[in-house]
Amino acid sequence: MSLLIGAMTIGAILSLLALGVFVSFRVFDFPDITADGSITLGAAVAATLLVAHVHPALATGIACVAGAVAGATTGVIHTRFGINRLLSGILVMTALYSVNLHVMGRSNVPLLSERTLATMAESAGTSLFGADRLHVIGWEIGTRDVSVLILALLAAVVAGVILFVFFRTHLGTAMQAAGDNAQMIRALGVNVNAMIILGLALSNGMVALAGALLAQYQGFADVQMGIGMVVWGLASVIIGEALVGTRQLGFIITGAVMGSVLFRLLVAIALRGGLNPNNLKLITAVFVFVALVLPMMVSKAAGARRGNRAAGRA
Amino acid sequence: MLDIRQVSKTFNAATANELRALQGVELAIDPGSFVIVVGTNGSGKSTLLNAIAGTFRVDAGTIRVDGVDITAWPEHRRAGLIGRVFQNPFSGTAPSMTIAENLVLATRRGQPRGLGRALPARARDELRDRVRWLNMGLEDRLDNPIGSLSGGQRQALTLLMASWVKPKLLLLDEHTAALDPKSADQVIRLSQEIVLRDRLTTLTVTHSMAQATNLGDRLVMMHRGRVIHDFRGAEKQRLRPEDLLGRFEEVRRAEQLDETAAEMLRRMYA
Repeated sequence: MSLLIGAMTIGAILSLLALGVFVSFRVFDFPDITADGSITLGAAVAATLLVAHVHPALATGIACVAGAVAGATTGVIHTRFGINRLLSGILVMTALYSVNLHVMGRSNVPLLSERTLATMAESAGTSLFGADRLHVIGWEIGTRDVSVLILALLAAVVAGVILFVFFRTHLGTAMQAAGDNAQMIRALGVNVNAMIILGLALSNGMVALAGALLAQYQGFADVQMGIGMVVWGLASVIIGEALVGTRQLGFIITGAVMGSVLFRLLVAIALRGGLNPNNLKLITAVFVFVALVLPMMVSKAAGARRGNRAAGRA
Repeated sequence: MLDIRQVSKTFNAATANELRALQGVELAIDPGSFVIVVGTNGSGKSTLLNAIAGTFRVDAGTIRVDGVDITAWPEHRRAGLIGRVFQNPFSGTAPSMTIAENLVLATRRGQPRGLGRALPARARDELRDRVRWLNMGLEDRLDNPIGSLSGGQRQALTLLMASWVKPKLLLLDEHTAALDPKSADQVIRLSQEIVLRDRLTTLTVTHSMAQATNLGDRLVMMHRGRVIHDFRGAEKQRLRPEDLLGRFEEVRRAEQLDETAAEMLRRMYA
């Protein structure tokens, strides 16, 4: 049971990553690889500050801002210097590897006895529920595990609501339009380049927040932890879209959070069932590939069938 | 209202594909006038509109709108003064966003966009009223994505959006060329109503001789990146499609003459 709760907690934390990936990949159609570096940046900044006894909330906030700066850098490299979108992200991601090492001073920062948002949630939960173990519908589970899960879910819900509300503002609709039809929104007086920079800052700020929370949950930051994270996030978004559809923004955002949690649960179950962890990233990549190609092939097949019918009528 | 002085633009300069699209264009337009721009293919009509809108920077010359020199302004800044409708009906609207969202984007043309709610209930009422005026039944479909509408409907909405905040200058770039005849008529009628109602200074590029002679109070003909004819007032009102075709024929003959003369010279000196 604690295995499943752990998986759900990581899923909830990484739903912030999924929301960030949603902003770059779906709103802007910008394949932003920066996220692989900015999630580690978030973890590195938060962990380093926590070791220096900065308040966990402040450390997490600063980590978020650091991620936003990284995203804005990618945006500036693309818009200002005309570097290809993918390459802009790759450049910043590569640079961030060194930056992260410098921030941490080594390749791994453990958070052994530091006060973190996770430990704060645990102690708050213990004093609130007044027991070390809880019985929930027949299951006995650790209060600490539940408290951290609640914190993670809260973070995911708050981030999702903020994102939803933001995309309902004048600025947010302009940002969506900049991703949907740049020519149109430019003719309505919006600086599309500024929107891309702002959007990538928003996206990577959320990704870094995911990194900061993840480091505090698992108790360490590691310079390698970001590898393949963009694909994880994308997989969550795709699962979410399959679950609830893409008709409305609220559905997509909810779906991304659900997709992230579900994906982590599936992974935990598969690992428990004997899946070799080394194959995890391969399987994720194949999954995303299939998920991207399948709808195309289905519509093509449907189109061919329609074409045949039309030919038959004629 | 619009003052264009000696504007030139060469694309792909100093290459085999060099194209001298605008060659010292001079054009001054009074406030409230409705100007039609016609010309042969490649004469620079659309390039002129794009130069005014700021799609690219001109090589030489100045462009003023309402006395303000906008030659160095980026496109999005010029949009505060200029409303535009494109030739492609899909260019002027964001397809995956709803009608209401698209319209509300237009209500802020040229204004800063903050964190205020984009679509409070009272804003929707105003949107619905203005959309009802189009008479296309779109007022009941405000929450449908604009991508689900026909080209004519999208172009009508783009027109509404371009003129929502009264622009100093309205640019219509062959905005009915891609529509079926019925939709084209409808959009032209709406254009004329809006332009006359709000007394908008308007520049319209068209290929249709009927539109060129029926619409507007002034007509300029372009050829090879220059304004070669300028009909105003009574002269413009008298203009019939045959007259325009005659002018085009003249241009074509002059062109042929040039070519045969050039050919003759080549033979003589080869």
